[in-house]
This record gives sequence, structure tokens and C-alpha cells, in this order.
Amino acid sequence: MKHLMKFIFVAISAILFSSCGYNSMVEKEEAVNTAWSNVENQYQRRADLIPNLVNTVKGYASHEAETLESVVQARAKATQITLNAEDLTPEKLQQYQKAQGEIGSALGRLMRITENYPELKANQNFQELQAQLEGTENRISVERRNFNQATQDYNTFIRKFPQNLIANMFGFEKKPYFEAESGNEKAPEVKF
Amino acid sequence: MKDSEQKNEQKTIEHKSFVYLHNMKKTFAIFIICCTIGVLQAWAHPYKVNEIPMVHLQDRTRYVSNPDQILSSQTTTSIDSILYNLEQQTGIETLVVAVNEIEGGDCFEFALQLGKQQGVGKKETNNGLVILLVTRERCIQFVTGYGLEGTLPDAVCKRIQIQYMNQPFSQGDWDTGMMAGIRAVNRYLIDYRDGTERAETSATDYYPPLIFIATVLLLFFVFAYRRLRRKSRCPHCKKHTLQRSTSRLLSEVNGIRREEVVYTCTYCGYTVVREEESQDNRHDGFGGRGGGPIIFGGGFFGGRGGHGGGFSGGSFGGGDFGGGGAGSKF
Repeated sequence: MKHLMKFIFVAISAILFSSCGYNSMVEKEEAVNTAWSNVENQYQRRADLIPNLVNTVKGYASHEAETLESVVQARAKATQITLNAEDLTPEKLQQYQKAQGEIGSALGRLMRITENYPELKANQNFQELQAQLEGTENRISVERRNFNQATQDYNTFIRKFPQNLIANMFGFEKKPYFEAESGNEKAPEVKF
Repeated sequence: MKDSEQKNEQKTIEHKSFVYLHNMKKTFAIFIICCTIGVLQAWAHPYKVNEIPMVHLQDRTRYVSNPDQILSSQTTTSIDSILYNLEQQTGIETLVVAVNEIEGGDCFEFALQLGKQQGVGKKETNNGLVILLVTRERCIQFVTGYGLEGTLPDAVCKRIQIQYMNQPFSQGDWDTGMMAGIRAVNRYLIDYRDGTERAETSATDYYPPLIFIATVLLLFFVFAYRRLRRKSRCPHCKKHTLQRSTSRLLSEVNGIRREEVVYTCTYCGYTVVREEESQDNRHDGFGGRGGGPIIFGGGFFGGRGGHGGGFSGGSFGGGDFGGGGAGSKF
């Protein structure tokens, strides 16, 4: 009798899971994880470009040491913060985003300086590094958007009835979004 | 008294016709104004991503969307043929768009959305390429699909823009810049493919047998065609107007029929009598090898359909984009 009850319980829960979207939840969470690793890859790619870029700029603009140093430091700081897809919390994501944002703004300053060095700008190696950097920034924004879409898809799914019951039972939690880059980080300097 | 009445009447008529004329003038003026506004709007309004006409979907041999006539028709045609050839050889799907103005003014974003929405590139390989020129933004933007990023890296895109496109574009020479840029992209991609192919399959080459078979088939068709032509040729007036008119059975042994067939020329009336052998009694061709013409006809039109039928609509394969590529301002 006890055996039978167990069997019935398993059967009912199996039906419940499939109809209440347990499997879809897993799929959607996995999609968020994939999207997150794509985001990380692109940030990593940008970090990998930095040493080469800094060295190239140094060759032409060695007395801009301060700016160059700030890029290197921002990179060092940001590479220390890694974030697994499993423990994506709003605080951690914000921290990560802030560290990466600092690289972004330091790089922005560096690229603005290079405008003053026509020889550097004409250097083919630098031009290609610049193209790669631009491409990487573009990729980062695309992957961030993909991540936000996957997260939205997942979040809406687990918060709807009746999936929310299952989600609570198995600890599927709402995941954080990337927020739009706060304005002052990217705003161009205006000098008169 | 009567005179004045008549005059009055005339006046009213004149007045009426004047009013009528005036109204017509007014309507006409409004019409003209509307037309001009319409034309001006069509001319000056910034395109949304989904408003770019997709010529490739109507005709699969065309790749250049040029709604504002920025590029000359000669340039578009040669770019089309280059890109058609490129797709045939490498499978890479390209979309070239040249417009005056875009909504939002962000060339990268626009090109990316264009590629994503149209699904440029094959779904499995994501090998799409979008090339966008916006004259008012003074930008040229390449966007490469996920699968093309390795083949055509950002740095190469940038180099091509710097070397071939930016200079002519900055002088407003859209044709020269676009032509040189597309040529360079094509050359790079073909070279790349040749390089990898040589590395991968130098020993096993699958092409010679195919070419051999194709040649044999072609020769067969040519002979069949000539045989057919010779059969229908009138020996008197040399025109191909001979037609079978009557036939008389001579013998039938083991399913092989021998008959005497009379052909009459429909042009000069000359008659020819020939003795013919056939396997059965079908007379759908010129007797004899009745199957010949049928095979021949099928082969001929089939071949034409495969190579020459360039007016059917094309499609993009649903490729995805991850932000690869490069852009320049000129």
C-alpha cells in the first residue's frame, strides 16, 4: 500500500512538472546562463585587447602615462571580479558592471587622447586595434541585450501562475538585468 | 429691358464659369502641393529598418538596395554580379544598402537590425554580411554574422574601408568607393576560401567526374539535336519544315517495325520517302527514336532553368549577428 502511494505521488508530480513548466524553467535558465557566458566572453575579449593597445599607444604618446595607467589599473581591478551564472544577484551584477564600466570610461579617455596624435592614428597596427576595440564594444552591447532578453523571458515565465508555485518549490529565483550604462560614465568631455 | 436681362444672364454664366475655373485652379494647386510634399517626403524622410526595400527577395540575383539612387545602375549591376558569384562560390549572403538618411542615425545599430530582421546568412553557419552606406551620417558600416567573424575579422573590414572606401566617399564619389570596397571584400573572401580549401582537400577533388559527366551529357544532347534537325530538313528548300504525312507498314518482326514514311515539306511541298525502323508503334516524334526529342527537350529546358532563370525571388537563410564588423566615418 505504501508502495502504491509512492508510485502515485511520483506519477502525479511528473505530470505536474511537465504541465507546470518545470522543464521549460530549466531550459530558460540555461538560456540565461549561456547568454551570461557570452557577455563574459566579450568583456574578456576587451580585456585581452588592452595590453596590446596600451603598448601601441605608449610608443607614440609615452607622456600620457596617467591615462595609460588608469586603463591598466581598471583592467586589473575588473579581471578580479568574475561572476558565475549560478550566483547572479543584483548586487554582484552591479559590482561587475561597475568594474567593467570603469574600463570602458578609461578606454574612452585613452581613445580621446589619441585624437591628438596623428602619427599614432595613421599607424596601421593601431587602426586595427581600434577596429577590434570598437567591434568588441559593439559585441558587448549586443550580448548584453541578448542577456537581458533571455532574463526577461525567464523572469516572466517563473513569475506567472501556476509556474510560480513550482519555481518557489525548486528555488528558481528572479535574475537581475543589466542596467543602461549610467550617463556620466560615457558622456564625452566638453571643453571650451 | 430684355437686353439688360440677357446681359445679366451672360454675366451669371461668366461668373459661374469663373468660379468653376477658379475652383479648378485651386484644386489643381492643392493637388500639385500635395504631390510635391509627397515627393519631398519620400525623398527626404529617414528610413526605418523595415522600410528598406529588399530587392533580393524579388530577384535572387540582386543584392544592392539602392532606393535613393545613390549608386549608378551600372555600379549596382556589377556589384550584384560580384555578390551573386560570391554566394555561389562560398555561400556567403551579402546585403548592400545605400540610403540618404536613417532613423536614429546609428549606423551600426541600423545595420545590425537590418541583418537580424532579414536574417541575412545561412541559419546553420550565420555567414551573413551587411554593408550599409548612409550619406547624411557620412558613415560606412560592415556587420558580419556570427559565423563570418572569423573569416572576415573586424580589422580587415576596417582596413578595406580605410584603403578603398573612405577616400572616395569623402569626396562624394559613392560609385568608386562602393565598387572598390565590394571588390576588396570579394577578393578577400575568395582568397580565404581558396586558402582553406587547398589546406583541407588537396588530394580528393570531386569536380573532374562531375565535369566529365556534364560534358558527355552535353555532347549527347548536341548530337541528338543535330540529328533531329537534320531529319526535319527539307533537301529541296533547306528549311526545317519537313513533316511526317503518311506511312506504310513494310514488315513487323519481333516487335521491330519497318515502315515507309512519307515526309512533306510544309514550305515548298517537296516530298521525301524514307524507310524507318522502330521498336514499337509510337509516332510522337519523327518516328524512329521517339524518346530522343522528349529527353532532349527536358534536358534543354532543365538546363536553362538552372542557370538562366534569374528572375525568381531569393531569400535570406535566417542568419544571426553578434555585432562583428567595423564602421568608419568619412
